[in-house]
Amino acid sequence: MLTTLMAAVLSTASAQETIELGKLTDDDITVVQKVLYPKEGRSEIGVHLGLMPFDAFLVTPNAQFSFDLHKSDRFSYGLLVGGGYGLQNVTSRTLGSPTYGVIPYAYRYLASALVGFQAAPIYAKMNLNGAKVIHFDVYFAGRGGVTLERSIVPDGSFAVAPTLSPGLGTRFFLGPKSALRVELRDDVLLEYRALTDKWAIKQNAGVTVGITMFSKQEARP
Amino acid sequence: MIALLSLAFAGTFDAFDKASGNEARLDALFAVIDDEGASEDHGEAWSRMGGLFADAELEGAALVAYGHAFEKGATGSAVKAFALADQVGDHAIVAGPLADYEPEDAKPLPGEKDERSHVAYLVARDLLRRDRLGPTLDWLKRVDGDSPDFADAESVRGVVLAAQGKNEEALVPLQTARALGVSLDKGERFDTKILMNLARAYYGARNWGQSIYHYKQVPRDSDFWVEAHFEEAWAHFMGADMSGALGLLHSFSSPFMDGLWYPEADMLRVQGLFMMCKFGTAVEEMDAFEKHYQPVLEQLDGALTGLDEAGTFADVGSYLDKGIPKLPPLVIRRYRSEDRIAEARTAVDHYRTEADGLEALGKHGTKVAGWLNGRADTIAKREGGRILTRIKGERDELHRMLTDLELARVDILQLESRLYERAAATGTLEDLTADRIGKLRELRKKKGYQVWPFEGEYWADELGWYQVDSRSDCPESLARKIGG
Repeated sequence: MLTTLMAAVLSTASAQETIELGKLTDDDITVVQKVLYPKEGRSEIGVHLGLMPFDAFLVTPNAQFSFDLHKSDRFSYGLLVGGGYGLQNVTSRTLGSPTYGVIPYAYRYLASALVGFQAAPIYAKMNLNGAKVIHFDVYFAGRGGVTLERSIVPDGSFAVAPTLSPGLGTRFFLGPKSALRVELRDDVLLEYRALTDKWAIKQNAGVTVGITMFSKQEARP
Repeated sequence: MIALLSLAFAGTFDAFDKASGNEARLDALFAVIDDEGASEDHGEAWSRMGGLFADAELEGAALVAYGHAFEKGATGSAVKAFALADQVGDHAIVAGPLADYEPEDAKPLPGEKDERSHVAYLVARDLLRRDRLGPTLDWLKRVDGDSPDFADAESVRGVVLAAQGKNEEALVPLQTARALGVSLDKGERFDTKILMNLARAYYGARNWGQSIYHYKQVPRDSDFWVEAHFEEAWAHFMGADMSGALGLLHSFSSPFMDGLWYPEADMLRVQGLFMMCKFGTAVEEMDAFEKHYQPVLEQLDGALTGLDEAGTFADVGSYLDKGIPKLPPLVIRRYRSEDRIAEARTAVDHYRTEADGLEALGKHGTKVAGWLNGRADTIAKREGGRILTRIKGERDELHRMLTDLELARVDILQLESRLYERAAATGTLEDLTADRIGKLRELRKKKGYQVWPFEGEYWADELGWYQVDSRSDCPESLARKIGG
């Protein structure tokens, strides 16, 4: 068969034509893969556990509830509501001990409510020791809202602080309906402190890890 | 009716009727069977023996007896016999004798409508396995349109029509079978089989677009996916879509396919590359083909030497039981998911196990054990023969491919060098790589798909998702129309 075809090619080739000879290279090949975990048109509900470990005086375990509506595979709007309680860390306790007798004028996180967006420009996969391929995306989050905090000084005041919250997260897809979400988030609070009668900027940087569930996937053509 | 029958056989079967215990009853029946003067009653004697064995839960022995009864024209227990055949996994023993009747001689089958349809379907399936296409269609006509077997029967009808070259006619029963399969909830495997047959029928009808459309619907996790993928590549090739064919065939270059027997995929890839004047890559593929398959051919030659039908059946069985086979796993891997071999192995195991426990039959135990072991040997020989014939055919085909490759290599190298000379005389090569980013950008617009550049690394989850976007390197006048 090949011999016959080649004979035909030889007999019809013309010297006047520009002949480009080459190879099939990797550049000629593309993987066009159906998205295994589409998000477009789906909502995502999640529960996350978090920790704000970077504060000088407090360590704050917290829980967050998220709801996101994916407008596309790369963009979503969402709501993030959470609560927690800032525990005094070693530094804070040492300062408050009879030796020093100083209670730092720190505010502990109690609750927050944020709305915003997520942009996920990176979709990738990793080979887990040759046994499993795990797909994940990386997203940037921009959120805004309010945070409720209270001073750790006895009789200290509450503060309801306008908050801007940039974040960076990743979503490891566990299956078509669920994902493990890890997010690093930095809440920037503009906080009025009653005892000193001053506006202060405070950062609540933390990490959350949560499980999210996706709504049913609509059939795609 | 029963009274009339009793009257008809009065005398011949008196001893049987009066006997007590299986051994005595068998004595009476063997006396009738061994009496050449009572040949008209032999069918009934075998049929009664089948009933006796069935009551004793000796399904295999019952099937052998019923098989003899059918050969003698006593088909009254057909429904019961086929129910036992379902249990044992050996339909051929009872279907065969029924199938051997010419349609005009075939007696009306007993039983309810659905039971008769079931028998007719199984006989038709047996006939198809023996490549007796005309009688298969005749028996399929006996399957009632309302019976649960009708979907399977329509599927078989489609396969037969396609095998007869009536591909367009085959589409209707296949589509009917598919629709019925969905409404009867016959499962994904049934649906996938029909999809494959539809795709093949469209291919046979030279409707490449529809063929590709149906191949594409075969689920990735199905046993048939690799086969569908390969056959889809052929449809692209025949439709003169070389890039499409090469994209699909690229999966077969991945190490994940190394354990599968698809030398034809590599050859098709070489042809596709040739048709696009990608001579350099074609030669590389040919070298790789030879390097990979020459040792396989030698291994196959060695393994096939002295291997008979029964030995082949045992060898495949050993492989399926996770043992080390004599035959290269490459050529027998497909039997992991084949229904027919699974059925045959079940039947052989059943017969052999039953043959080991016939003490209750007294002196007749040895004789019946001989029947059962004989039947097991027949099945092993039949199935082993089928497999052996196929593998020998593939060995011969591989031998031919390797020989052709040597001839083609010389030609292709000469052609390549001559075309380079012409290229040098007529102009420079275009730089197509500049458009790479643009092409990727276009692909990324496709909703619901993720685009990854291929960098020479194979990922298991990317198999089947490759696309080749390469312009033919042939001058315009060399464009070939294939399959048109």
